[in-house]
Formats: sequence, structure tokens, C-alpha cells
Amino acid sequence: MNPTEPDLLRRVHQLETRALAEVYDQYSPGVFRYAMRLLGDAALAEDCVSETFSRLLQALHKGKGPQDHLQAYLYRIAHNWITDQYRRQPPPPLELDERLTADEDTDPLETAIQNQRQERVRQALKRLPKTQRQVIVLRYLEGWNVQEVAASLKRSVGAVKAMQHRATSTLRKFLAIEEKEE
Amino acid sequence: MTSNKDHTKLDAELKNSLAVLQDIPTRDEKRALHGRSQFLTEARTLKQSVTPAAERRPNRWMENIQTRLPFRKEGVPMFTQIISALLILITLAGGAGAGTVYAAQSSMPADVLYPVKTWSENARLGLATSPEKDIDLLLEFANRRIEEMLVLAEEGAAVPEPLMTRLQTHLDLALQLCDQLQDSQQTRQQIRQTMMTQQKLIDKAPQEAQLLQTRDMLQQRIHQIDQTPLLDPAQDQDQLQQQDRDRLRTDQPEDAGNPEANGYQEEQNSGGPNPNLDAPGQQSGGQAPQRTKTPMPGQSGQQQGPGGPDSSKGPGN
Repeated sequence: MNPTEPDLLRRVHQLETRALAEVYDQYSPGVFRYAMRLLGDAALAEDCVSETFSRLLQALHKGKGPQDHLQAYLYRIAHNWITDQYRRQPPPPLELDERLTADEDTDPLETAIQNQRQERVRQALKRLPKTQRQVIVLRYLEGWNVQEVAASLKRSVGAVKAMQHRATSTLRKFLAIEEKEE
Repeated sequence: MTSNKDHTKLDAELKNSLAVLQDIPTRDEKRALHGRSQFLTEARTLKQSVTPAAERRPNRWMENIQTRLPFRKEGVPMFTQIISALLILITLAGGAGAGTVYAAQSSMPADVLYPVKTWSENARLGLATSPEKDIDLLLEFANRRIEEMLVLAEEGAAVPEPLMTRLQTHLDLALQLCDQLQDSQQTRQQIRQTMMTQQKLIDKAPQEAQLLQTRDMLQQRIHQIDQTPLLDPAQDQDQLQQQDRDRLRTDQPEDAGNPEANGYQEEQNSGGPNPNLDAPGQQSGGQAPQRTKTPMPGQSGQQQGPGGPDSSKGPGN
């Protein structure tokens, strides 16, 4: 993740429609993926994307907003929104969608097991402190390097490494507990 | 203390555990498109609400003058207020107002309020101050038409002909305006991207005849965009023509004995490079000529008629 092009940032700060469209097209799929992984619900993930970009606009309107790393800024907003979502309510139960049809190639049992595994990991991630969770997700799921995560969190590289170490140890424990509980 | 080796192992284990979250379902393109449209609408609203007159605010000497003048300090906001007041009066007098226009925005082609929706779109287009804004609006409206078509198709209703015509008009107008821009490459790609997304949405919808027709129309326009040569902004038309003229001038002595040997003409006719056109100092048939732009298939060369390379692309095509 390189710093955002200064020209693009300038145009974004001027609320130029074309620049904002470019930013949306470039980063919204990533924000959706990120939210989807943490929330496991497509509708909530879309809400997260919508709210993230809306907050970006509000910040830009007030003359604030990202000064260099636009992507990191967006992920930070998305992460805060997800954390709020965690606090606000437990994840809604999965509803049966009548449009869902049985896929002949997919084994329902296999799908159920996969969903259960995903939920187990999500629950473990949810129990991590906010920043540690962000480090883990960005490093392991989004594939960012330490420098990029540091830029996103506005922390030093050393601090991120330490946080990652603590987070991995804690997460491993949580995952083991979750497994035992099952 | 954990050794590096242990740490790597721990990372690998964790990576395996977290890998279950890597697979996520594909994003619903219709929702994504809707979200994009909402975001851009919000951006436009916010942009309009910013007062651009900070530098116009009166300083000391201006204040003295301006307070004695019948005009207020900020002309534009005042003008907006007058317009707003007029609009309110019209609203009160006419009985149909902003509320109606607002309500009409979610109407469908068969609804009573739909003409209000299209009228408000035309009004917005009329108020746009630059071709770029016009294009943005036209693409937004084209997306709306697609959404309407998809809703109708899902409900099993027929897509009316005027709806398709309107979509076609939006896109053709956007392409026409794009051709008038100085640097049209980015905009052209933006239009192409919009049409690609629209095409994908239609592919997922029920296979109605009208939708298939619309998809063909989109495909045709995407094809046209792909066939249109993209000029390097740094090397515009004039520069290319100048290069050709220079090259012809340089080649003139070599070709003097053969009046038929107009290399540029020959290159145009054959569609390929002519060895006689090699840069000075190069051997005939040696390296490729220095022309940086190769005409696209169907294009005869750099010299274009008044319509230019894009003249083949018109609303009727």
C-alpha cells in the first residue's frame, strides 16, 4: 500500500465527483471484503461500506480527512464501524432466504461445517482488543505488511510488531478455547 | 522468550486457522452499484453546500465600500436565496413542489410521478455547468434506467420502449460530450466501466427480450469505445501530425527520384510500416519506424477528417 497520489488526494479533498468515483471503485471492494470477513453478513458489510464512505465525505466536507494514506484511513473507519457493530448487538441469526437454491456441487454438510469454522474464528477475533484484531486481520487476511499496518494504525513499526505478537498468542488461546467448548 | 522459529510456526498455524475467512461470497453488483450511486449523490450534495466565496468575503476596505452599495457581500448565496424564494413561490402557487419532485425520485415508469422524475433529471442536466458534470449526471441517470429495467424484469413486467430509448440517449450523449473533452481517455474508460457493470447486471437478470436488446446495445457501445484509438494525452493530434510532416520532409531527398514514392501514403494504404519512412540514419527495412501511434484496425492513419477518429461513433451507431 503506497501513499495515495497527491493529485488524487487533492481532488478528493475538493470533493471532485470523478476523483471520488475513482476512490470508491478502487477501495470499496476491499472494504466490503474486510467487513464481510469480520461480520459474516453481506447486508451488514454493505452497510459498513456505505457508512465508511459517507464518513469520509463528512470528514472531507469539514476540511478533515486523510492526508496521505487514503486506503488506511478507510479501513480505520470501517474497523471502527465494525467494532461499534460488535458492541451494539450480537450478530443476527442467519435467515433462510427463499431464493437460495441447493447447489448440486456443494455438500450441505460441508457448507455447514465451513460456516461453523468461520463463525468460530470470527468469535475468537471478536474477543480480541480492537487494535489487536485490526492488526491480525490486516496482516493475515488482507496481506498487508507491518509498515502498512503501522501507517493505518498511526503507530510505530515496533509497536505493531509487539501488538501482533500479543494478538497471535491471545488469538491462539481463544481459538483453542473455542475448539474445546465445541 | 519465543524464538524466531517458534514465532514463524505460530504464524503459520494461525494463518491456517484464519484461512477459513478468506473465502467470501461475491458482492451483489446491484447493491454495489446502488451504494456507489448514493455515495456520489451525497458527494454532490455536500459539494453544493460548500460556500465557495470565502475569498470574496469583504476585508476592511471592501466592507466600507460594500456596505454603502445596494449589493450584499456574497453575491452567489444571495442569488441562491432569491432562486429559492422564487421556487417556494412557484411551489406554493403551483401546488406541486419539491416534495413531489422528491417523492418522484423513487417512482417507476408506470407511475404517475415518473414524468416528474424525468423532468427533474432534465432540469439537473440543464443546470450542469460543465461537460464533465453532464457526463457524471448522464451516467447516474443511465444507472437509474438500468435499475428500473431490472426491477420491472424481476416483477415480470415488460420494459417499455421509451425507457430503453432514454437509456440509449443518456449513454450516447455522454459519449458525444466525452469526445468534446480535451483529455477524454479517462472519461471514456469511466463510461466504458459503467456500461460493463450495467451489462453484468443485465446478465444476472431474467432473460427478457428487451433486456437482451439493451445488453446488445451496451455491447455495441463498448465495442465502439474499444475500437476508438486512445491518444496519449502527452502526444496529441497536432504533435503526431507534425511528426509525420517532419518525417516526410526528411525523406523527401531519398524519394525525389520517384514521385510515386510517398511513404506516408503507402503506409496508410498498406496499413503497415513503410521502410522508406524510417528515421534518418536508419537503414531501409531495418528497425521499426518511430511512429508511436499505430492506427487501430479500420483506421487509415493519423490524418483524420473533420470528424476525427471518433466520427464513426455517433448516437445512431
